[in-house]
Amino acid sequence: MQLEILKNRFLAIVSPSLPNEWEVEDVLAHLLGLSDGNVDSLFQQIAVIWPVSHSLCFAYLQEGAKCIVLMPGDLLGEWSRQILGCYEAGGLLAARNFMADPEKHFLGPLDGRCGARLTSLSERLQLYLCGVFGRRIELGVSKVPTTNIDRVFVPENIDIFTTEADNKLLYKLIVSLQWAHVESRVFEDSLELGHRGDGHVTRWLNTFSRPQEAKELFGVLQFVKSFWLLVDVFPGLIRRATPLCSDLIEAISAQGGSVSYCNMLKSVLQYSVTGLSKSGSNRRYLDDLLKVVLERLRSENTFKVFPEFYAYFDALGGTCNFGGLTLLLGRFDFDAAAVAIISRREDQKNAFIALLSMAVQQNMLVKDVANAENKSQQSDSSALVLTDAVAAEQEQPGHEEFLLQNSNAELSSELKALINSIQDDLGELPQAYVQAAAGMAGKGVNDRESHGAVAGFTQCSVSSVGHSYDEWDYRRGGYRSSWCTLYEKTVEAVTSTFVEDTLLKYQGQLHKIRRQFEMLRNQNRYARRRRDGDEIDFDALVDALGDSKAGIVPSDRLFLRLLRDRREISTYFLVDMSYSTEGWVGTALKESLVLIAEAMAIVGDAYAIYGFSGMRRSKSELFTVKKLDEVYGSVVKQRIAGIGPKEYTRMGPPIRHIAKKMLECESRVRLLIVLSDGKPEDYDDYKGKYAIEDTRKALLEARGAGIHVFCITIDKMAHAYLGHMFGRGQFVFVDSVDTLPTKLVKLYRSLTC
Amino acid sequence: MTIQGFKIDENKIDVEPFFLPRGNEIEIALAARANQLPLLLKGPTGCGKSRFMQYLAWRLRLPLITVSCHDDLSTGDLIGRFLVKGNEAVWQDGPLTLAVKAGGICYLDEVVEARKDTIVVIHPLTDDRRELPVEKLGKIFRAPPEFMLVVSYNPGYQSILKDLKPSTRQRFVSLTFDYPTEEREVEIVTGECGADAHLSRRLVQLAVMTRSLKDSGLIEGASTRLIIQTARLIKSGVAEVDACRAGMTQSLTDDLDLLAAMDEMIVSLF
Ligand SMILES: Nc1ncnc2c1ncn2[C@@H]1O[C@H](COP(=O)(O)OP(=O)(O)O)[C@@H](O)[C@H]1O
Ligand SMILES: [Mg+2]
Repeated sequence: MQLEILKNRFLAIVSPSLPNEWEVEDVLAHLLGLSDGNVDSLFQQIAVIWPVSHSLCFAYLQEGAKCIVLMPGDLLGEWSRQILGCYEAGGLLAARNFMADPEKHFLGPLDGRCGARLTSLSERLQLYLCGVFGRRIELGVSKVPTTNIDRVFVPENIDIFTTEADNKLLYKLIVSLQWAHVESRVFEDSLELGHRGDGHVTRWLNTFSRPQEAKELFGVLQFVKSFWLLVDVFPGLIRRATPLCSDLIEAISAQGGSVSYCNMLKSVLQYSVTGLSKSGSNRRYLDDLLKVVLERLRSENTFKVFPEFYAYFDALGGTCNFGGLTLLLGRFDFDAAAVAIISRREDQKNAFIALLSMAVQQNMLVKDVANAENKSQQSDSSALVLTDAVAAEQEQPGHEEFLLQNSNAELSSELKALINSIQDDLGELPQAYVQAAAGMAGKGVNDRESHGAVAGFTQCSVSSVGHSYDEWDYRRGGYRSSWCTLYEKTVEAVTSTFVEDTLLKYQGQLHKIRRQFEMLRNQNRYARRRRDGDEIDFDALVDALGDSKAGIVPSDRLFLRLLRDRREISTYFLVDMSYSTEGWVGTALKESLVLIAEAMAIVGDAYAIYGFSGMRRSKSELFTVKKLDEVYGSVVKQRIAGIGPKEYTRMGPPIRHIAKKMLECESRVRLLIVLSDGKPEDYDDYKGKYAIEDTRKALLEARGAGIHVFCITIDKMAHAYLGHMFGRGQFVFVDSVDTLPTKLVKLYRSLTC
Repeated sequence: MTIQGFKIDENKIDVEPFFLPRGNEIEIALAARANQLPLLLKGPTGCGKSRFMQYLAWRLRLPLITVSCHDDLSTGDLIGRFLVKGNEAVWQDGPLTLAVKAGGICYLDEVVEARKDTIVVIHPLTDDRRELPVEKLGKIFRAPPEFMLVVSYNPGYQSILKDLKPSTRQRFVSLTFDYPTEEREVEIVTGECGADAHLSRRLVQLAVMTRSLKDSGLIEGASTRLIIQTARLIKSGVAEVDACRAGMTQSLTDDLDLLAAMDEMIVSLF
């Protein structure tokens, strides 16, 4: 086809745009050799791509001219769709990369031949990990898989095998192996070597004649141990993954002249994975004694078995190229794990001491009350049991343990779980922990969260300038009185299309949300036994008939009435406006508010929205977005748009202030939903444990006053302390922008249905 | 309206129900019973609360009358009402009255589902008066020593509207039920449906894994009941993986990501 004809056809398609003619000619020159059919197919997509981006369209034609011969014309539609997808996600560069290798990026994946990418798997893999570990574990990225016991790191993509399915399976096996390492307690065992977290394992490996090989061999041995653990625990996974492992093992190659070394390693691995020595020639490397050494792994830890295992290889010497198996062997970060273990133990110790001393203090309280009321009959049996437990303890002051065992039934489930986990970890509950708790309990009570202790809220003084609040100092186990000052402000309204844009963006979900909330509204719509109404209440009528026959004056409440009255819930949303929410977290927060406002409008529940931030204890700030009785109109919408990251996150004062506000409002059910990134921190010493403990205390105070509190944490990774700070089962963790708004709405629904 | 003709003897339990205790719940319940104190059973669904009541009723040789609460439950449904038979009004005892008169156990299952104004009728039964006023009959029934009131609820249920009022809650001796330890749960599943220990262990493992998803969006993990149901499907010849999906995970959520993740767990285990 002639360039002139091509050009005219092109211009006709893109009109009324008038692109630069020489540029068009330049690009179309690439198409000159193509058949008419191919040109037609290529041209069909111009109308789709051109309006999105002119440069993209030119790039498409240029690359398309090369690709069209590789793929059937009917795939072009899908190809251009994917090009646009790439362009939207990653710009022109991403789209160019995508087009440059159609075999790898397009045709391969179409029939399932491709690598697996973490991004497309992470949500699922993440949940899988939580299930396997039994706790929240974060996924991170690292070339060679590893773990520090709280996070698991895996490569960004894996394309060792030809099919995507196999590569995904490999991902799953990798994370499962990392779990098995943790589960086998290899990291805890490493602490026995002495010197913790400062290269202690490296130092130990250096005591072997060839440290580099020792490291490699240790990895292999621990792999075997963990693999066997998986064989027991996840037979399904192992059944599917064994062929892959076997292939990877076969691919190990010797480096230099170390063929025997390499063959022996291979037979060890092959034997461990498949139970057989695969090729007959390798069998001689695996004598029965070596098998016995390996079998010891089933009951002993890897550090104990290792020296003997190493001895087998020491004589041979050499090194291997592990190839793809490196992903399974991973890398051991003993130092990071040691740090995590030590800090976990410290946390558990502190939490245990705090909880137990609190329990002991409460026992004392109950005892006082019981004495005062002269053991008011047996109306409260639990009080008696607790009193007895304390009495027992006081008779035998040296025997705190006695208290612990005897009042076991009365210990909170949180404390019990903690004790179990400490026992699992250390083998026993250290006496020192119990003594420390007993000591702390002796220091006196500072308990504001027990039911009815509303006093804590009324104590604070309200000056014309600011409201002052006490703050919990866990180190002294008491409050610092009037420590913080909080000021109320209003978010500045800004004119913007934020609300409209958000509604547009979530159009699809909004439809569903509206329907669900309509159902919520309609849930209790019939009031029974009314004096008048739309329908006869047959239950009531039958009762009345029976009554009148029996000579009782029958009730005249015989009707069902459709009620449209409000549900008696008032909800306060408290939103983190600290600088740490800058970026996607902040946007997600604001978008959620827009959606929740929509939902609330439908169900008709009363709600308020406040933001908080501040800097130092002298300046906590609470920003009004919507007061409880304010209507959701243009001003509120503009305030939502005006929400932006400010300063720090001192969570205690705003929670206490809101709680006080909530107690003033008349409503039977009060719900406080705190949205934050779960990182309380201020400029001064309000950080780490101190901040966590004060936040926790403030929430407990609110709960004690009868407010239902629920926390939503938005972050890329969940910190282990969230459960402690927010209360187990009282928070959810959200790690992606797109799901937060709908999750919030869903949560509100399930909290109030 | 449902007209329930209760015959108290039909509610006697003759054969010892299979119940594996977690801790000292039997001891405490018997002590509460001896002191005429009402019981509150808390715990997630399907963890053995109803089964415990059956066991307790058998142990005490008392009839057990169970009422499943719902928000349409009226005081009449609990106490009783006049019915018209022929041309006469006949009083029909409700389950609560029946249990009081006959000296049995009245078990209000999922008590938070009932409206609060319905639940107040139990108050005079829960303090030392132990009596049930029936206004329409102009009578007050005093509960005999055998009578026992037990209510259950599921605190893991997120709804804040379905919470017990402190004034109700503080009338009870509380027993917390929770998922059993893995060992025990395996024993329960094995004992309940004769599944072999190996299969039970795998199924329990799966349930435990689903329970860890609670902070990640799953409202409640798989209960013992679901494990048992799944084991039964497998025993009837359904393939393990299919049975786990149908009997366990699909019943937990509609969320696609959660389902996909749980599917990964299933195929890892089987
Ligand atoms: N401790 C237990 N001993 C025996 N069976 C149990 C036990 N816990 C649970 N089960 C089994 O689980 C099923 C569900 O328990 P159920 O008592 O109905 O739960 P809940 O009343 O707590 O919802 C029972 O039918 C029984 O098969
Ligand atoms: Mg039940």
